[in-house]
Amino acid sequence: MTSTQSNPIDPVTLTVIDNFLTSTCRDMGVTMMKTSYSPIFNESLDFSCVIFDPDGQMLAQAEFCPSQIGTVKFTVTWTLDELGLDGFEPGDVVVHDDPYRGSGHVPEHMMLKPVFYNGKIFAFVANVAHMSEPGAKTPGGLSGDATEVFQEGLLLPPVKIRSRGKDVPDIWKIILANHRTPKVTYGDFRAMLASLDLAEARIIELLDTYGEELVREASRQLMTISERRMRAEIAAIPNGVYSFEDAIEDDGIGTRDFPMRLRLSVRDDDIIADFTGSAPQAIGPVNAIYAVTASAVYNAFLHLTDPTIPRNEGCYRPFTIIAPPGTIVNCSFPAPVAGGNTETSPRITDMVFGALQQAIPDRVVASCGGTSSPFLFGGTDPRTGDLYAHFHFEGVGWGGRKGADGNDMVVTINGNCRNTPVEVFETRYPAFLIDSYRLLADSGGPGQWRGGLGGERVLTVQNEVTVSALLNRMKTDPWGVLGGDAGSRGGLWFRPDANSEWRTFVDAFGTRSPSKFSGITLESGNQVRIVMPGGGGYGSPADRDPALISQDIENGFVSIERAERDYGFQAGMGER
Amino acid sequence: MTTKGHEGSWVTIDVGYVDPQRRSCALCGRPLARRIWRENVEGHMREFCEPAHVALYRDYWLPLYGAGAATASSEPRLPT
Repeated sequence: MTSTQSNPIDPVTLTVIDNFLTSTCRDMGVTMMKTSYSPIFNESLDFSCVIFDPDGQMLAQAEFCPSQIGTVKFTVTWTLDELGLDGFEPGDVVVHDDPYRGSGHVPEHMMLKPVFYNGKIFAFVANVAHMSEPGAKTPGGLSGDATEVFQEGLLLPPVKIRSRGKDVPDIWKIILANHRTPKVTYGDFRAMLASLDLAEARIIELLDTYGEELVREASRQLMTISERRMRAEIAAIPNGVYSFEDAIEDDGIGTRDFPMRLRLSVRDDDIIADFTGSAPQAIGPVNAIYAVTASAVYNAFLHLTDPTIPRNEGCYRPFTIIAPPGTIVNCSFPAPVAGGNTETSPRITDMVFGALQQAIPDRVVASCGGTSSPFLFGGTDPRTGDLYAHFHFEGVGWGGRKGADGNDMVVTINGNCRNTPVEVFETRYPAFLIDSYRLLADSGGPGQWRGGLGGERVLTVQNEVTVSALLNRMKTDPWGVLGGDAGSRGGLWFRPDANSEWRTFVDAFGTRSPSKFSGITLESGNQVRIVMPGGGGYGSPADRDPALISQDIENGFVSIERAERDYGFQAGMGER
Repeated sequence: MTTKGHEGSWVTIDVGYVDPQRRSCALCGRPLARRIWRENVEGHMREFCEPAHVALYRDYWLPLYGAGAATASSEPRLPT
């Protein structure tokens, strides 16, 4: 194949190369799913796989975790900047999980491998994954009352875990000595390495088939096409300044809210998302680092624009994100950050929708439940004597949107993950039996298009276990848009046994926050009730089709009482 | 090294492990690793993550938040 530099490459070849790169990312993910040890990998799919060029430009991604896909841009570019291209040799793999060097939060580890071709680096393949046990102050990390990043797990600046194809034992020893579940970390790290090896082989296969120059030029042209198409989408939004405010409720340490302010400027085909005026950073772990805030803005626009735009660096070029250092949207070292990626991130994405509801009312969605509902637990498995740890998260109701009700109990908008199935949950961990797991009627915000339903899970402790939590939307509403009403709030409760009254963790254990705490020990027979918020409604409830209300009543999604109160529904209205 | 149309230059700093350098872009707040664009703006030497942010600093940030800007309070308000 001869060089085609500077000449437009035919659309078929471009599409083949784009699909090859994207499917390589997908196959990386399948490798991780099939070869990993932890349910957070093989059930929840809390990972993402990407390909970059040597300049740190993202060439491809696949449909993984949105908060990671945006954040990993910053993790990779920091790594390349810090280490320099000269710092890589064939077979090297770098591991990295320092939020103050561009990673999302401490549990998320990135691995990065250079792909050499003809003696030079042609690309970098990378994956980022949430480890179920990062060596934090409590099992599973995401300690809801952490006050420093050091309490959230072992920080790793970019270091080589594999050098010239061989493990670096000292690095493995340090990491595994700091995680409560070294066997699980070992297995999940091996899955990440296998994923990188597969991607390296695939890219070399692509280069062997099409030639280095053609693939490089195709990558450039694909990024240009993506940028052009994204800019065309932005240009279709009326120029203007659109504002929105929301707040993170408490930080696990104090009880005050942390307002976030967005000033979104649409300037022809450019976007400036300016968070100046947002609250100073919190003492507790609800702070987002810059990369998380930027990623949340990207996430919103990837939802608002044509999903067929190739997902590469070009998509991100039209955006400038301004997040003043020292604030809750760009905290400074050594503030804790675990909840920034799970809680603050979806709220920022929702704020973009809220800001744009007047500009593009047909395309925005109402607020989703806005929490990943992180519930962490760990202890000693009486069957084996081994320590275990798990990051359990829940779905929420998503906001209504024009033409459709919100999704019911889907992991919040920054996640795109799956929850852990009940059977796996009970089989893998000796901590809990799940008594019930269900959708909650009336939890979706009323609207012409109803918010999705939240849910409830009740767990009974089987063996002594240590739990932590980092949930939101228990004090503030998942708001509606364009006349839609708010969805219901979430909650977290405890009771000593099935015959007792439910109590908050504040009442039962003296935690500072009802939803953010760490290191509470529960005993056999205790019960925990997690309630997941619903989504906000879209448009006035008065405009909802009575047939849909009738259907909601029939399905048990809306009670007759709430149908009458919220929608003015009367028996017989929905009959056709 | 300079970039066409700009009067600043790229500089490289040590990341450092004993005494890490923690710097941010004057416009966007992005943490800076090793490569930093340094340019004099309105008599002050500023650090940026890329040259393009110098123009935005002048055209967007200074009029809104710079000295003498007739901006609204930057104090956050709770949602209503």
